Amino acid sequence: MSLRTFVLCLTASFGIAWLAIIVIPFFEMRELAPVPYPEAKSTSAGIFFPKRTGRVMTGARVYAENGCYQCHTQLVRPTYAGNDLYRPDWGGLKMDPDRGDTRRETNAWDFNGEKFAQIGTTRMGPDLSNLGRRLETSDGSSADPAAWLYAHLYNPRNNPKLWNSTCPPHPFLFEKREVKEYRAPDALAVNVGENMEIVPGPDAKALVSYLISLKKDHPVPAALNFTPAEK
Amino acid sequence: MSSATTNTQDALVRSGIDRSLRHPVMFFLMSGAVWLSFALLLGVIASVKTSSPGFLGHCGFLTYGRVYPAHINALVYGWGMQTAFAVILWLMARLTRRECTMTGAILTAGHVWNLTIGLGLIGILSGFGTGMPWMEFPPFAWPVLLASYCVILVGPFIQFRVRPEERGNIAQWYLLAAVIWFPWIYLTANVLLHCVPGHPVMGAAINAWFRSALIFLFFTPVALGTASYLAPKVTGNPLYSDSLAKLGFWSLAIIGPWAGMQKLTGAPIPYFLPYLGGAATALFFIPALAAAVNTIRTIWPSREVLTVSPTLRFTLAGMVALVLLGVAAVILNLPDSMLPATQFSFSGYGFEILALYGFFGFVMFGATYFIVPRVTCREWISRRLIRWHFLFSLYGILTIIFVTLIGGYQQGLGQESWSLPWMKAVDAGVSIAVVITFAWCLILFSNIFFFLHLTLMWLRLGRRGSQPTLLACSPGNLGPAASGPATAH
Amino acid sequence: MDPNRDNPIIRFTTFWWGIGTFMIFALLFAVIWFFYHKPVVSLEDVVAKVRYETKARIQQEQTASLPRESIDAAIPAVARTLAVAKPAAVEKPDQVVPDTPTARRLAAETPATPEPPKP
Repeated sequence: MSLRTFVLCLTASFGIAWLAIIVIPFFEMRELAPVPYPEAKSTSAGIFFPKRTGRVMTGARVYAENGCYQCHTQLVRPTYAGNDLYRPDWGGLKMDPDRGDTRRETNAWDFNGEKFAQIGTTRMGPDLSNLGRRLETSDGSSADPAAWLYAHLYNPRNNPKLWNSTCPPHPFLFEKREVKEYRAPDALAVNVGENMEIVPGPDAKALVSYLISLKKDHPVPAALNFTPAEK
Repeated sequence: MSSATTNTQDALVRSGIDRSLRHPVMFFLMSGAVWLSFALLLGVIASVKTSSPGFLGHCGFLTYGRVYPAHINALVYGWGMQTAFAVILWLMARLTRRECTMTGAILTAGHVWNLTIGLGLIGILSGFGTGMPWMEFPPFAWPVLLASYCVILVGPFIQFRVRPEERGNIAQWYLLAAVIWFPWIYLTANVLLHCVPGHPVMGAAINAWFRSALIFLFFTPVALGTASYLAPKVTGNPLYSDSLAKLGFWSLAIIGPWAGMQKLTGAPIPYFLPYLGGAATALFFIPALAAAVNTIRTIWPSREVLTVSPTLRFTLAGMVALVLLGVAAVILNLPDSMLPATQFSFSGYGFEILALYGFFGFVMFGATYFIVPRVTCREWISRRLIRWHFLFSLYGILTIIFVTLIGGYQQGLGQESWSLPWMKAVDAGVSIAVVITFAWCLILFSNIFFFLHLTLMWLRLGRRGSQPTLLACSPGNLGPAASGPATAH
Repeated sequence: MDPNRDNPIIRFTTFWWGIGTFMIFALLFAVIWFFYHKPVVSLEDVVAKVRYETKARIQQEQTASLPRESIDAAIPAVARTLAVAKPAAVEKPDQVVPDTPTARRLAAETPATPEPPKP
């Protein structure tokens, strides 16, 4: 077989797959048409638009730089692919006080505002798709999800309920400084000596803002709603 | 022309080729060994942190989320690629009987490669990683690495074109394919993820495809080509079956590019993509078994050589790992029974390490033990160091495979038990983590021996002699080229 | 070495063929991109379009209900009225500017107001 024939055959065998699973889906996904959702509030222009509030871009960058995706996923799989939807607080809330069961699988607009979806590689920690929603409602953190997250990021094992957590401590995201006239409102409840306090640094604030924005249980239009119809 | 003169001429050609390649090959093998030791050290640190997160907890640059990507990137790009460079350069030169004429350019590009990897790792550990698995180097790195790659491996492409014999053998086809495939997959992934804005979930899918393609379309063909050369060469037997070899190659070429997206099953991407990925990964057992059976049956009639030849021992271990890899590819990707549990568990990591170290790594070690004496004109100093390298690596990799593939499934079952609280699933993973740490320590230990041994050879402190360093006293009549003395062929 | 197969010219051309082979799929992608890419329309753009239309409509109606010509026509009439009006003394104590002689005189004259009851 000559070099030219060999390269041609290789190009064909690679190229068909390249076109079919990489390039064409890449272009199709860039041009996803918005899904109409006329029942949405008037500010959404009749389309499904899961708005996110918080420092999504900066926070996602800190999330990526510190490798959170190595242990946490952000994918709630449909029931044919896994049991994520059966958990009471991963895909949404099983018993949301206003809307009842808000759990749903991840859809293509849930990563709006991010450049690379941090789907994640392994689950050594829980899925984070609805972390923001979960923190608002579980006991002890509904007072201040941000404070819970700062304490968790500083040292997860400080929390007695998570004594065997394998999440690494991130003290480098925080600053240790002298207390000025009064303690900072977001100072952590950690004793670091007389007249000293721990406050979150800029990266910690961005990351926590991003994590609190993780609420992927917006109501979906009929075209994206795969829950079985009520009998 | 008498056969004696032909033999002498052949020997002269061969030693000319070896001499021209001494510096590039030893550079890449040594660099690879250094990066391997560094990657293994980082791997041990990362592994300890999965069971004791507070270990070295104050250092921001050693947090798990940075140390683990540094470990994988050093392993893949620092060790894996450079060892592949060394082996491809030497094998293609020998198989096409052409000397290396680009030594200066290759060495420069090699230094640039090392510098870029070093800066990239510093970038990851300082918190500038991109967050894309296996592509965490800051964005400056990939164009530089690609340019270096082109300089280093365009030489074998040219050598193949100007080869004297029209018929190529299977090793040449595998190596040439690997040389061509890597830029295709590297460029595709990096351009679509860094240069062109696309949908975030499709970006994650392309990244998953890249990770799989790097294993199936670069490391696998390099290892298979090397094994197809080493097994007949060391035993003196011809390759068992040419048609099986061709089947193995072309099935890999057709199946390989489709695999990878099963890592995103359930994600909001076109429905058929993960299924094609899973099917292709499962079908990988065809080229894997074809090549493994071919090589093992080539070795089998002369299996007594296994007791003495380090090259053959490592190659056979690599082939057995390939069989395990093919079987694991099927089992881990069964759609309804196994994939939901293994998708986000340690099993994926175990599969990658089996492919990178168990299969590719062992074959590369076999090639190293074959090539270095020929290129430095010295023999390995100590058979004990070779034996320890083999045994500790073998124990380590077997432990990792067993624990991650099986324990990973247990971990996955724990994750899928939705009625139990999440911390129960975490508990399932901790004991696995401890055993994996121990296994990495064994592998690090074995590679310290390898690194020391290789350094001595690089410094030309190897043993001068006409008899090769064998693992046991040679049992009389061996095959004509059984890791024979460097000067004989 | 057969000069027909191995000479510097063939090596030179093969070098460039090699680089070209490595880059095939990048070139192919560049071609496909050139012909097929459209600018990405994000959800925010779709929603913003509606918002801009609303804003344009409101601007239009506001400018329509407040035309420039009627303002220009009204100004001279008001100006004339103001010009003939004489300054008149202030009647209510609330309209006195604080800290002027008038205010101080008034403060001295009036008794202190009782404190308002506490809420």
